[in-house]
Amino acid sequence: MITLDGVSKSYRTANGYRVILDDVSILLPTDRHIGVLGRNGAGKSTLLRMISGEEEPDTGKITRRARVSWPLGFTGGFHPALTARENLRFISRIYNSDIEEVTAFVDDFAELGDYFDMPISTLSSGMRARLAFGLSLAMRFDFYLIDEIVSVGDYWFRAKAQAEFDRIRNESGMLLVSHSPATIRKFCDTGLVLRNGRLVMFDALEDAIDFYLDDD
Amino acid sequence: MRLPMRPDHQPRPLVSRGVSAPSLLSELLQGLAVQRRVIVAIILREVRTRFGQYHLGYLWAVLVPLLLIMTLAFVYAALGRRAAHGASVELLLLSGMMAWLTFIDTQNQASRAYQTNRQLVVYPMVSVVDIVIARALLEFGTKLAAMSVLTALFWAAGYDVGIADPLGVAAAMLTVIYLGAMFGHTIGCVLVIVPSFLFIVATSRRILFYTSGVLFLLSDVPTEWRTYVLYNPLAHVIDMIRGAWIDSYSAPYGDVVYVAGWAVGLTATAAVGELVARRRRLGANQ
Repeated sequence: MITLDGVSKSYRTANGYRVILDDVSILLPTDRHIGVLGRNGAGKSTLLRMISGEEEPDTGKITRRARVSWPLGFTGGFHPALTARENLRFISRIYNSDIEEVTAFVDDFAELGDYFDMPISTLSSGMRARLAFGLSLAMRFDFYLIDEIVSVGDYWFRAKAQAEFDRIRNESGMLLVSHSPATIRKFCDTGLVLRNGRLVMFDALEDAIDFYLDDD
Repeated sequence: MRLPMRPDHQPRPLVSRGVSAPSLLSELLQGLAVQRRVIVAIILREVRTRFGQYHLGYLWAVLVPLLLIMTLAFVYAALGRRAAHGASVELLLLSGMMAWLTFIDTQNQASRAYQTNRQLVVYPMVSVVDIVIARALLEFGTKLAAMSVLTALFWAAGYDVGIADPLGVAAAMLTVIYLGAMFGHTIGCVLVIVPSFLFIVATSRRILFYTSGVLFLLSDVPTEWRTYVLYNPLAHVIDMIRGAWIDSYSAPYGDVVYVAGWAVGLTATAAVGELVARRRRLGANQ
Protein backbone atom coordinates (compact mmCIF):
# COMPACT_ATOMS: atom_id res chain seq x y z
CA MET A 1 0.00 0.00 0.00
CA ILE A 2 1.24 3.47 -0.87
CA THR A 3 -0.27 6.40 0.99
CA LEU A 4 -0.26 10.00 -0.17
CA ASP A 5 -1.24 12.21 2.73
CA GLY A 6 -1.89 15.90 2.04
CA VAL A 7 0.70 15.94 -0.74
CA SER A 8 1.37 19.17 -2.63
CA LYS A 9 3.97 19.77 -5.31
CA SER A 10 4.59 22.69 -7.61
CA TYR A 11 7.38 24.05 -9.77
CA ARG A 12 8.47 27.60 -10.29
CA THR A 13 8.42 28.50 -13.97
CA ALA A 14 8.88 31.74 -15.87
CA ASN A 15 5.12 32.36 -15.64
CA GLY A 16 4.75 31.70 -11.94
CA TYR A 17 4.02 28.42 -10.16
CA ARG A 18 2.87 25.32 -11.96
CA VAL A 19 0.88 23.12 -9.63
CA ILE A 20 1.34 19.36 -10.06
CA LEU A 21 -0.48 18.15 -6.95
CA ASP A 22 -2.64 20.31 -4.69
CA ASP A 23 -3.20 18.77 -1.24
CA VAL A 24 -3.83 15.24 -2.51
CA SER A 25 -4.61 12.38 -0.12
CA ILE A 26 -5.10 8.95 -1.67
CA LEU A 27 -4.39 5.26 -1.08
CA LEU A 28 -2.77 3.34 -3.93
CA PRO A 29 -3.18 -0.44 -3.63
CA THR A 30 0.09 -2.09 -4.68
CA ASP A 31 -1.58 -5.28 -5.90
CA ARG A 32 -3.49 -3.53 -8.69
CA HIS A 33 -2.52 -2.45 -12.18
CA ILE A 34 -3.14 1.26 -12.07
CA GLY A 35 -3.15 3.43 -15.17
CA VAL A 36 -2.42 7.14 -14.73
CA LEU A 37 -3.96 9.32 -17.42
CA GLY A 38 -3.04 12.94 -17.87
CA ARG A 39 -2.31 15.54 -20.49
CA ASN A 40 1.26 16.31 -21.51
CA GLY A 41 2.69 18.55 -18.83
CA ALA A 42 0.12 17.61 -16.19
CA GLY A 43 2.97 16.22 -14.07
CA LYS A 44 2.62 12.46 -14.60
CA SER A 45 6.37 11.84 -14.61
CA THR A 46 6.84 14.01 -11.53
CA LEU A 47 4.12 12.02 -9.77
CA LEU A 48 5.96 8.83 -10.68
CA ARG A 49 9.26 10.13 -9.33
CA MET A 50 7.57 11.19 -6.11
CA ILE A 51 5.98 7.76 -5.64
CA SER A 52 9.36 6.10 -6.27
CA GLY A 53 10.96 8.30 -3.61
CA GLU A 54 13.29 10.03 -6.04
CA GLU A 55 11.60 13.37 -5.45
CA GLU A 56 10.06 14.73 -2.27
CA PRO A 57 6.73 16.53 -2.08
CA ASP A 58 6.74 20.21 -1.08
CA THR A 59 4.36 19.42 1.76
CA GLY A 60 2.61 16.24 2.91
CA LYS A 61 3.87 12.70 3.19
CA ILE A 62 4.21 9.66 0.97
CA THR A 63 4.51 6.30 2.71
CA ARG A 64 5.56 3.15 0.90
CA ARG A 65 4.82 -0.24 2.45
CA ALA A 66 6.11 -2.36 -0.39
CA ARG A 67 9.18 -2.79 -2.56
CA VAL A 68 8.57 -0.04 -5.09
CA SER A 69 10.66 0.10 -8.26
CA TRP A 70 12.45 3.09 -9.71
CA PRO A 71 10.66 4.44 -12.82
CA LEU A 72 11.15 1.76 -15.47
CA GLY A 73 12.89 2.82 -18.62
CA PHE A 74 15.16 4.97 -16.53
CA THR A 75 18.80 4.10 -17.30
CA GLY A 76 20.65 6.78 -15.31
CA GLY A 77 21.06 4.84 -12.06
CA PHE A 78 24.42 3.34 -13.00
CA HIS A 79 27.91 4.58 -12.18
CA PRO A 80 29.49 5.31 -15.57
CA ALA A 81 33.04 4.31 -14.55
CA LEU A 82 32.04 0.94 -13.07
CA THR A 83 31.21 -2.15 -15.10
CA ALA A 84 27.70 -3.52 -15.50
CA ARG A 85 28.61 -6.35 -13.13
CA GLU A 86 29.94 -3.95 -10.47
CA ASN A 87 26.83 -1.77 -10.74
CA LEU A 88 24.62 -4.83 -10.29
CA ARG A 89 26.54 -5.79 -7.16
CA PHE A 90 26.03 -2.34 -5.67
CA ILE A 91 22.31 -2.19 -6.43
CA SER A 92 21.76 -5.76 -5.19
CA ARG A 93 23.45 -4.79 -1.92
CA ILE A 94 21.33 -1.72 -1.25
CA TYR A 95 18.13 -3.61 -2.10
CA ASN A 96 19.22 -6.63 -0.05
CA SER A 97 18.92 -8.95 -3.06
CA ASP A 98 21.12 -11.97 -3.70
CA ILE A 99 24.09 -10.72 -5.73
CA GLU A 100 24.79 -14.03 -7.50
CA GLU A 101 21.17 -14.66 -8.51
CA VAL A 102 20.66 -11.11 -9.77
CA THR A 103 23.94 -11.20 -11.71
CA ALA A 104 23.12 -14.58 -13.28
CA PHE A 105 19.64 -13.48 -14.34
CA VAL A 106 20.66 -10.12 -15.79
CA ASP A 107 23.72 -11.56 -17.55
CA ASP A 108 21.45 -14.07 -19.26
CA PHE A 109 18.62 -11.65 -19.94
CA ALA A 110 20.41 -8.52 -21.17
CA GLU A 111 22.79 -10.38 -23.53
CA LEU A 112 25.62 -7.90 -23.14
CA GLY A 113 28.34 -10.50 -23.77
CA ASP A 114 31.80 -9.07 -23.13
CA TYR A 115 30.28 -5.68 -22.36
CA PHE A 116 28.99 -7.09 -19.09
CA ASP A 117 32.48 -6.47 -17.73
CA MET A 118 33.05 -3.12 -19.41
CA PRO A 119 32.42 0.31 -17.87
CA ILE A 120 28.84 1.53 -18.31
CA SER A 121 30.14 4.58 -20.20
CA THR A 122 31.23 2.30 -23.08
CA LEU A 123 27.79 0.68 -23.49
CA SER A 124 25.38 1.75 -26.22
CA SER A 125 22.06 3.23 -25.13
CA GLY A 126 20.30 0.03 -26.25
CA MET A 127 22.62 -2.06 -24.07
CA ARG A 128 22.01 0.22 -21.10
CA ALA A 129 18.27 0.00 -21.58
CA ARG A 130 18.41 -3.83 -21.70
CA LEU A 131 20.58 -3.86 -18.60
CA ALA A 132 18.24 -1.54 -16.68
CA PHE A 133 15.16 -3.48 -17.76
CA GLY A 134 16.72 -6.83 -16.83
CA LEU A 135 17.78 -5.46 -13.47
CA SER A 136 14.34 -4.12 -12.62
CA LEU A 137 12.90 -7.56 -13.42
CA ALA A 138 15.53 -9.29 -11.29
CA MET A 139 14.80 -7.00 -8.32
CA ARG A 140 11.36 -8.63 -7.99
CA PHE A 141 9.62 -5.43 -6.93
CA ASP A 142 6.11 -5.62 -5.45
CA PHE A 143 5.07 -2.57 -7.42
CA TYR A 144 6.48 -1.43 -10.74
CA LEU A 145 6.41 2.19 -11.87
CA ILE A 146 6.38 2.55 -15.65
CA ASP A 147 6.64 5.80 -17.56
CA GLU A 148 5.13 4.97 -20.99
CA ILE A 149 5.78 1.51 -22.40
CA VAL A 150 8.84 1.72 -24.59
CA SER A 151 10.08 -1.26 -26.49
CA VAL A 152 13.73 -1.93 -26.02
CA GLY A 153 16.26 -3.51 -28.32
CA ASP A 154 15.89 -5.64 -31.41
CA TYR A 155 13.05 -7.97 -32.33
CA TRP A 156 14.32 -10.99 -30.36
CA PHE A 157 14.87 -8.97 -27.28
CA ARG A 158 11.39 -7.52 -27.61
CA ALA A 159 9.84 -10.98 -27.67
CA LYS A 160 11.82 -12.02 -24.62
CA ALA A 161 11.15 -8.74 -22.84
CA GLN A 162 7.43 -9.12 -23.57
CA ALA A 163 7.37 -12.59 -22.03
CA GLU A 164 9.15 -11.45 -18.89
CA PHE A 165 7.01 -8.35 -18.64
CA ASP A 166 3.86 -10.50 -18.74
CA ARG A 167 5.28 -12.74 -16.03
CA ILE A 168 6.04 -9.76 -13.77
CA ARG A 169 2.59 -8.34 -14.47
CA ASN A 170 0.97 -11.52 -13.18
CA GLU A 171 2.74 -11.45 -9.85
CA SER A 172 3.31 -7.75 -9.11
CA GLY A 173 1.26 -4.59 -9.06
CA MET A 174 2.12 -1.69 -11.32
CA LEU A 175 1.45 1.92 -11.98
CA LEU A 176 1.59 2.85 -15.63
CA VAL A 177 1.75 6.41 -16.83
CA SER A 178 0.50 7.14 -20.33
CA HIS A 179 -1.32 9.73 -22.37
CA SER A 180 -2.79 6.95 -24.50
CA PRO A 181 -6.09 5.35 -23.36
CA ALA A 182 -5.33 2.34 -25.60
CA THR A 183 -2.16 1.51 -23.67
CA ILE A 184 -3.94 1.91 -20.35
CA ARG A 185 -6.80 -0.33 -21.54
CA LYS A 186 -4.35 -3.03 -22.55
CA PHE A 187 -2.37 -3.22 -19.31
CA CYS A 188 -4.45 -1.80 -16.45
CA ASP A 189 -7.52 -2.58 -14.37
CA THR A 190 -7.82 0.65 -12.38
CA GLY A 191 -7.73 4.23 -13.59
CA LEU A 192 -6.27 7.36 -12.08
CA VAL A 193 -6.63 10.76 -13.72
CA LEU A 194 -4.25 13.62 -12.98
CA ARG A 195 -5.74 17.00 -13.83
CA ASN A 196 -5.33 20.52 -12.44
CA GLY A 197 -3.44 19.38 -9.36
CA ARG A 198 -6.05 16.73 -8.48
CA LEU A 199 -5.73 12.97 -8.61
CA VAL A 200 -9.00 11.10 -9.09
CA MET A 201 -9.24 7.31 -8.76
CA PHE A 202 -11.83 5.22 -10.68
CA ASP A 203 -12.53 1.58 -9.90
CA ALA A 204 -13.90 1.09 -13.39
CA LEU A 205 -11.21 1.79 -15.94
CA GLU A 206 -13.63 3.03 -18.60
CA ASP A 207 -14.98 5.69 -16.23
CA ALA A 208 -11.45 7.02 -15.85
CA ILE A 209 -10.94 7.09 -19.60
CA ASP A 210 -14.28 8.87 -20.12
CA PHE A 211 -13.36 11.42 -17.48
CA TYR A 212 -9.95 11.93 -19.08
CA LEU A 213 -11.32 12.35 -22.61
CA ASP A 214 -14.04 14.67 -21.33
CA ASP A 215 -11.55 17.38 -20.45
CA ASP A 216 -12.30 20.34 -22.68
CA MET B 1 16.42 -18.13 -16.83
CA ARG B 2 15.25 -18.03 -13.22
CA LEU B 3 14.21 -14.90 -11.44
CA PRO B 4 16.00 -14.28 -8.14
CA MET B 5 14.13 -14.82 -4.88
CA ARG B 6 12.41 -11.89 -3.25
CA PRO B 7 14.48 -10.72 -0.28
CA ASP B 8 12.88 -11.15 3.16
CA HIS B 9 13.33 -7.64 4.40
CA GLN B 10 11.12 -4.79 3.40
CA PRO B 11 12.94 -1.60 2.55
CA ARG B 12 12.85 1.06 5.21
CA PRO B 13 9.60 3.02 5.02
CA LEU B 14 10.74 6.52 4.25
CA VAL B 15 8.07 8.11 6.40
CA SER B 16 6.35 6.67 9.41
CA ARG B 17 3.14 8.16 10.67
CA GLY B 18 0.38 7.27 13.05
CA VAL B 19 2.24 4.29 14.47
CA SER B 20 2.45 3.25 18.11
CA ALA B 21 5.66 3.46 20.12
CA PRO B 22 6.92 -0.15 19.86
CA SER B 23 6.62 -0.29 16.08
CA LEU B 24 8.24 3.13 15.85
CA LEU B 25 11.27 1.66 17.61
CA SER B 26 11.33 -1.39 15.35
CA GLU B 27 11.05 0.85 12.31
CA LEU B 28 13.93 2.92 13.61
CA LEU B 29 16.06 -0.21 14.06
CA GLN B 30 15.07 -1.45 10.62
CA GLY B 31 15.96 1.95 9.20
CA LEU B 32 19.38 1.77 10.83
CA ALA B 33 19.93 -1.71 9.42
CA VAL B 34 19.13 -0.42 5.92
CA GLN B 35 21.42 2.56 6.41
CA ARG B 36 24.28 0.29 7.50
CA ARG B 37 23.74 -1.88 4.43
CA VAL B 38 23.72 1.19 2.18
CA ILE B 39 26.88 2.64 3.74
CA VAL B 40 28.74 -0.68 3.39
CA ALA B 41 27.64 -0.90 -0.26
CA ILE B 42 28.82 2.66 -0.94
CA ILE B 43 32.19 2.03 0.74
CA LEU B 44 32.74 -1.08 -1.40
CA ARG B 45 31.85 0.92 -4.50
CA GLU B 46 34.02 3.89 -3.53
CA VAL B 47 36.99 1.56 -2.99
CA ARG B 48 36.76 0.84 -6.72
CA THR B 49 36.22 4.43 -7.87
CA ARG B 50 38.48 6.37 -5.47
CA PHE B 51 41.84 4.91 -6.49
CA GLY B 52 40.88 1.63 -8.15
CA GLN B 53 40.53 3.22 -11.59
CA TYR B 54 44.11 4.46 -11.71
CA HIS B 55 47.45 2.83 -12.37
CA LEU B 56 49.22 2.01 -9.08
CA GLY B 57 45.79 2.20 -7.34
CA TYR B 58 45.99 2.72 -3.60
CA LEU B 59 49.76 3.27 -3.74
CA TRP B 60 48.86 6.92 -4.46
CA ALA B 61 47.52 7.24 -0.92
CA VAL B 62 51.14 6.74 0.22
CA LEU B 63 52.99 8.33 -2.70
CA VAL B 64 51.26 11.75 -2.57
CA PRO B 65 52.10 12.54 1.08
CA LEU B 66 55.56 11.00 0.69
CA LEU B 67 56.37 13.33 -2.23
CA LEU B 68 55.08 16.39 -0.36
CA ILE B 69 56.97 15.53 2.83
CA MET B 70 60.23 14.79 0.97
CA THR B 71 60.05 18.06 -0.96
CA LEU B 72 59.43 20.12 2.19
CA ALA B 73 62.11 18.20 4.12
CA PHE B 74 64.54 19.00 1.31
CA VAL B 75 63.70 22.71 1.47
CA TYR B 76 64.03 22.72 5.25
CA ALA B 77 67.41 20.97 5.03
CA ALA B 78 68.59 23.55 2.46
CA LEU B 79 67.51 26.35 4.82
CA GLY B 80 69.16 24.63 7.73
CA ARG B 81 65.94 24.45 9.74
CA ARG B 82 65.59 22.00 12.59
CA ALA B 83 62.61 21.10 14.67
CA ALA B 84 62.41 21.73 18.39
CA HIS B 85 61.56 19.36 21.25
CA GLY B 86 63.88 16.64 20.04
CA ALA B 87 61.65 15.79 17.08
CA SER B 88 63.01 15.50 13.56
CA VAL B 89 61.82 17.74 10.72
CA GLU B 90 60.56 14.61 8.98
CA LEU B 91 58.37 13.71 11.94
CA LEU B 92 57.05 17.26 12.18
CA LEU B 93 56.12 17.19 8.49
CA LEU B 94 54.80 13.63 8.53
CA SER B 95 52.37 14.31 11.38
CA GLY B 96 51.30 17.73 10.07
CA MET B 97 50.96 16.72 6.43
CA MET B 98 48.94 13.57 7.14
CA ALA B 99 46.55 15.56 9.34
CA TRP B 100 46.17 18.27 6.68
CA LEU B 101 45.68 15.82 3.79
CA THR B 102 43.15 13.89 5.86
CA PHE B 103 41.20 17.08 6.51
CA ILE B 104 41.31 18.42 2.99
CA ASP B 105 40.64 15.08 1.24
CA THR B 106 37.69 14.37 3.53
CA GLN B 107 36.36 17.87 2.97
CA ASN B 108 36.72 17.45 -0.78
CA GLN B 109 35.07 14.03 -0.84
CA ALA B 110 32.22 15.22 1.38
CA SER B 111 31.53 18.43 -0.54
CA ARG B 112 31.36 16.53 -3.85
CA ALA B 113 29.32 13.63 -2.48
CA TYR B 114 26.16 14.68 -4.32
CA GLN B 115 27.80 16.08 -7.46
CA THR B 116 29.67 12.84 -8.21
CA ASN B 117 26.80 10.53 -7.26
CA ARG B 118 23.75 12.15 -8.82
CA GLN B 119 22.76 8.80 -10.28
CA LEU B 120 22.05 7.51 -6.76
CA VAL B 121 19.04 9.78 -6.19
CA VAL B 122 16.76 7.25 -7.91
CA TYR B 123 17.34 4.82 -5.05
CA PRO B 124 15.15 6.14 -2.22
CA MET B 125 17.15 4.43 0.53
CA VAL B 126 20.35 6.26 -0.40
CA SER B 127 20.80 9.78 0.96
CA VAL B 128 23.64 12.23 0.44
CA VAL B 129 24.38 11.92 4.17
CA ASP B 130 25.01 8.17 3.67
CA ILE B 131 27.52 8.98 0.93
CA VAL B 132 29.29 11.50 3.20
CA ILE B 133 29.48 8.97 6.05
CA ALA B 134 30.77 6.22 3.74
CA ARG B 135 33.42 8.50 2.25
CA ALA B 136 34.55 9.73 5.68
CA LEU B 137 34.92 6.16 6.95
CA LEU B 138 36.84 5.12 3.87
CA GLU B 139 39.08 8.18 4.17
CA PHE B 140 39.75 7.38 7.83
CA GLY B 141 40.82 3.82 6.98
CA THR B 142 42.89 4.91 3.99
CA LYS B 143 44.72 7.68 5.84
CA LEU B 144 45.46 5.56 8.93
CA ALA B 145 46.86 2.82 6.69
CA ALA B 146 48.92 5.34 4.68
CA MET B 147 50.18 6.90 7.90
CA SER B 148 51.26 3.51 9.23
CA VAL B 149 53.09 2.64 6.01
CA LEU B 150 54.85 6.03 5.91
CA THR B 151 55.86 5.77 9.58
CA ALA B 152 57.30 2.33 8.91
CA LEU B 153 59.15 3.65 5.83
CA PHE B 154 60.71 6.57 7.72
CA TRP B 155 61.57 4.29 10.60
CA ALA B 156 63.23 1.81 8.23
CA ALA B 157 65.21 4.72 6.70
CA GLY B 158 66.64 5.47 10.14
CA TYR B 159 64.46 8.40 11.24
CA ASP B 160 63.17 8.63 14.78
CA VAL B 161 59.42 8.59 14.11
CA GLY B 162 58.18 6.23 16.85
CA ILE B 163 54.60 6.98 17.97
CA ALA B 164 54.38 7.47 21.75
CA ASP B 165 50.57 7.25 21.96
CA PRO B 166 49.02 5.55 18.89
CA LEU B 167 45.49 5.71 20.28
CA GLY B 168 45.85 9.43 20.90
CA VAL B 169 46.98 9.94 17.29
CA ALA B 170 44.04 7.86 15.99
CA ALA B 171 41.58 9.84 18.14
CA ALA B 172 42.95 13.14 16.85
CA MET B 173 42.75 11.81 13.26
CA LEU B 174 39.12 10.87 13.85
CA THR B 175 38.52 14.46 14.98
CA VAL B 176 40.13 15.73 11.78
CA ILE B 177 37.88 13.43 9.73
CA TYR B 178 34.80 14.66 11.56
CA LEU B 179 35.67 18.32 11.08
CA GLY B 180 36.49 17.67 7.41
CA ALA B 181 33.23 15.79 6.78
CA MET B 182 31.03 18.42 8.45
CA PHE B 183 32.88 21.32 6.83
CA GLY B 184 32.73 19.56 3.47
CA HIS B 185 29.05 18.71 3.73
CA THR B 186 28.25 22.31 4.66
CA ILE B 187 30.19 23.49 1.58
CA GLY B 188 28.47 20.89 -0.61
CA CYS B 189 25.05 22.14 0.52
CA VAL B 190 25.95 25.81 -0.01
CA LEU B 191 27.31 24.98 -3.48
CA VAL B 192 23.92 23.54 -4.49
CA ILE B 193 22.41 26.95 -3.82
CA VAL B 194 25.32 29.35 -4.58
CA PRO B 195 27.79 27.79 -7.05
CA SER B 196 30.15 30.79 -6.93
CA PHE B 197 30.84 29.95 -3.29
CA LEU B 198 33.56 27.71 -4.78
CA PHE B 199 35.98 30.67 -5.00
CA ILE B 200 35.59 31.45 -1.31
CA VAL B 201 36.18 27.78 -0.51
CA ALA B 202 39.41 27.68 -2.53
CA THR B 203 40.73 30.78 -0.76
CA SER B 204 39.73 29.61 2.70
CA ARG B 205 41.54 26.31 2.10
CA ARG B 206 44.82 28.15 1.47
CA ILE B 207 44.42 30.32 4.56
CA LEU B 208 43.59 27.22 6.61
CA PHE B 209 46.71 25.48 5.31
CA TYR B 210 49.20 28.25 6.03
CA THR B 211 47.84 28.82 9.53
CA SER B 212 47.39 25.15 10.44
CA GLY B 213 50.89 24.53 11.72
CA VAL B 214 51.71 21.86 9.13
CA LEU B 215 54.92 23.75 8.39
CA PHE B 216 55.85 24.82 11.92
CA LEU B 217 55.46 24.05 15.59
CA LEU B 218 53.14 26.44 17.41
CA SER B 219 55.79 27.04 20.06
CA ASP B 220 58.06 28.53 17.34
CA VAL B 221 55.45 31.21 16.53
CA PRO B 222 55.82 34.59 18.31
CA THR B 223 53.14 34.98 20.97
CA GLU B 224 51.34 37.93 19.36
CA TRP B 225 50.91 35.96 16.12
CA ARG B 226 50.08 32.71 17.82
CA THR B 227 46.78 34.17 19.05
CA TYR B 228 45.63 34.53 15.45
CA VAL B 229 46.90 31.14 14.35
CA LEU B 230 44.95 29.55 17.17
CA TYR B 231 41.65 30.69 15.63
CA ASN B 232 42.23 27.84 13.18
CA PRO B 233 40.82 24.66 14.76
CA LEU B 234 43.22 22.58 12.66
CA ALA B 235 46.17 24.21 14.41
CA HIS B 236 44.78 22.83 17.68
CA VAL B 237 44.23 19.32 16.32
CA ILE B 238 47.63 19.16 14.63
CA ASP B 239 49.21 20.23 17.92
CA MET B 240 47.29 17.40 19.64
CA ILE B 241 48.48 14.86 17.07
CA ARG B 242 52.08 15.91 17.65
CA GLY B 243 51.56 15.82 21.39
CA ALA B 244 50.39 12.22 21.15
CA TRP B 245 53.07 11.27 18.64
CA ILE B 246 56.14 12.86 20.20
CA ASP B 247 56.96 11.71 23.71
CA SER B 248 58.79 14.91 24.68
CA TYR B 249 56.13 17.28 23.30
CA SER B 250 53.09 17.99 25.44
CA ALA B 251 50.85 19.86 22.94
CA PRO B 252 50.32 22.96 25.11
CA TYR B 253 48.11 24.72 22.54
CA GLY B 254 45.64 21.98 21.64
CA ASP B 255 42.38 23.13 23.23
CA VAL B 256 39.84 20.29 23.28
CA VAL B 257 36.95 22.57 24.19
CA TYR B 258 37.69 24.97 21.33
CA VAL B 259 37.83 22.08 18.83
CA ALA B 260 34.62 20.58 20.25
CA GLY B 261 32.95 23.98 19.77
CA TRP B 262 33.90 23.92 16.09
CA ALA B 263 32.68 20.34 15.78
CA VAL B 264 29.27 21.27 17.22
CA GLY B 265 29.05 24.45 15.13
CA LEU B 266 29.93 22.66 11.87
CA THR B 267 27.47 19.87 12.68
CA ALA B 268 24.75 22.52 13.00
CA THR B 269 25.65 24.24 9.70
CA ALA B 270 25.80 20.85 7.94
CA ALA B 271 22.38 19.89 9.31
CA VAL B 272 20.78 23.20 8.30
CA GLY B 273 22.53 23.03 4.91
CA GLU B 274 21.19 19.51 4.35
CA LEU B 275 17.63 20.62 5.11
CA VAL B 276 17.84 23.54 2.68
CA ALA B 277 19.78 21.75 -0.07
CA ARG B 278 17.69 18.56 -0.04
CA ARG B 279 14.75 20.10 -1.87
CA ARG B 280 16.95 22.01 -4.29
CA ARG B 281 18.92 18.90 -5.21
CA LEU B 282 15.75 16.94 -5.93
CA GLY B 283 14.10 19.83 -7.74
CA ALA B 284 17.15 20.29 -9.94
CA ASN B 285 16.83 16.74 -11.18
CA GLN B 286 13.53 17.06 -13.02
